[in-house]
Amino acid sequence: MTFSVKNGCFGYEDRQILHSISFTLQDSEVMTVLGPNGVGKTTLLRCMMGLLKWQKGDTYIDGKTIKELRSAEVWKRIAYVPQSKGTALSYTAREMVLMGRSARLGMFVQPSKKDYEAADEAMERVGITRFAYKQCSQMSGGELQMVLIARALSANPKMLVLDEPESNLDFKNQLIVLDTIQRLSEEEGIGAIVNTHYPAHALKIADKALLLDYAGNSSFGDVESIVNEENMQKAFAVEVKIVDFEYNNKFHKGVIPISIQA
Amino acid sequence: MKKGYVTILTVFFAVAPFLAALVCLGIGRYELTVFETLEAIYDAVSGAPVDATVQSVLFKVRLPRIILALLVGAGLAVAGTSFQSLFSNPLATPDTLGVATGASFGAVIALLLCNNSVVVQLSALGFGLLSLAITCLVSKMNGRSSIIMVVLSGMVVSSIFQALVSLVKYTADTEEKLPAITYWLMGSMSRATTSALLIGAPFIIVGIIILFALRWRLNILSLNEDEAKSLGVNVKKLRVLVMIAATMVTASCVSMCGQVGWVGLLVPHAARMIYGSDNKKLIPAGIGMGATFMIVIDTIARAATSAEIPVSILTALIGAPFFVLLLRKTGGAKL
Repeated sequence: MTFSVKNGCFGYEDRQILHSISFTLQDSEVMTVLGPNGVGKTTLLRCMMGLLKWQKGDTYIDGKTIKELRSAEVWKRIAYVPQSKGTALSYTAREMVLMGRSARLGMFVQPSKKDYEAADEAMERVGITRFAYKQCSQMSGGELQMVLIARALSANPKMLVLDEPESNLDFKNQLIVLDTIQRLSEEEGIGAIVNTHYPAHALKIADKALLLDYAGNSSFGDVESIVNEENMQKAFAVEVKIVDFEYNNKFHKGVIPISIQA
Repeated sequence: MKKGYVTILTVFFAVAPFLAALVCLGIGRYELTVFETLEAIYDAVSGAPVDATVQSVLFKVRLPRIILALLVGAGLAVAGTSFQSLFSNPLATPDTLGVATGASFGAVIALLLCNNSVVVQLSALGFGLLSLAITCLVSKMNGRSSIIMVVLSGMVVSSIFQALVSLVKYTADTEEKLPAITYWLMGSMSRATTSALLIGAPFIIVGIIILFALRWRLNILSLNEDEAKSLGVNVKKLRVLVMIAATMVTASCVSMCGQVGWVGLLVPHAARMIYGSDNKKLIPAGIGMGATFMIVIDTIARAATSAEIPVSILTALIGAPFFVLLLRKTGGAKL
């Protein structure tokens, strides 16, 4: 699947937020969206999935605009993993994951055995089968995030869209989420667009990166060419050093904020 | 709760409404045992001659009443459950959109102007639907309405109709009309006749069928709007459908038996304590539990004392302690 945005623009009456955003992703590619708080990362995700309307430009899936496709067709291909927040009514993990099947079922149709199997399989793929019957309201942030990823996967999408999936998680849970995204891309060919606050995570899992800044500039390209000291400094107004080191025959990169730039 | 226990309860609530109906048919000043009741039903169905008193007490008076109680209990429970999902708020009730108050006003004004039960029923139904229309119009801002705006508009519409009900009561003749209005507002199944059922029941049944068919989708509706959309659901269409179906049920219930409080909150919660939040199980459970509860309450209302006790008094007096007991026992719903 090819997913692209061409010349996407969006803003509210008093403020233009997204200026002429363009990027293209191929099968199984992972792109991270980077930028300071309030720059419009979540807005970008919502626009490109059609949850908000672009003012100019459009989103294309395999060459067709998102408006041409029926909404169920769109949501069979891309699946959204929102920031994990609790709901007032709590469901078990399995009930929650099952909801991911809804794009594949008609309005009055009840989920069948096949859909339950798909939900169970999705939970297995991200390793959360052991708490299938746990209430979402009693889960830790990391567990809930994995449930939401499983819910997205149960629709068998070609691409995931994740909004800051590793925020508010501890080191271990961050790694679980990142490894899952990477593994889905490498082993199952499922691409991803990930909003993140951590440039180091972009370097770890992404092929491509899109960097937004307050001036309204956006740059898109291979992650190595986008996430460098100069660009980070410009976008976040923070002096940044990127270090790399080898450990157990593997290269790791760290992005270290040094000081706030005057 | 243990799985085996839940299965036993499920089977119980599937048969309970019929058992309750059968037993309660025989209860009253003219008493029949369950076997006599069964015999009378068998005779009636097979066309054998039935005793005239039995015929009139059982089939003309008690049966319509029990059918009404069954429909109202099931309907209000389903409407309450649906509204709770729609607003993702476990405290929502069938009256959240001001429907029950609107319907009450319709009934009260009809009671003031004439005394025809069909007119009262139709007026209540009409005003119930009208209050939904007003709520939807008020909540519409820039062509779209958010859930919070809908709830707020519901509160506004409800308080307006409440004031109008008070106004009607204030102007009503205190000798004759006011007691009738007050009694009507407290709710009673005693107005159940075959003709009343023929007008009101289809709305309740159709509403329940729609909500039953949408029961799994109600889960998705309780998520936030972006999430629901991203699961491929047409949120707007689904919301409107649920609102109309639940309103139809509520307005029709109120039009036939006045305001019956508590059922729409109590029964869904009792079901949540057993089944969690999955509407796929909650809606069928609500039908069984609501119907049984209402049949039992109504039988107490008509048979406990020589004078009829208004239903809403009993739903609160019996329902509230029962609810507290349930809360204590289960530690509350798994919300």
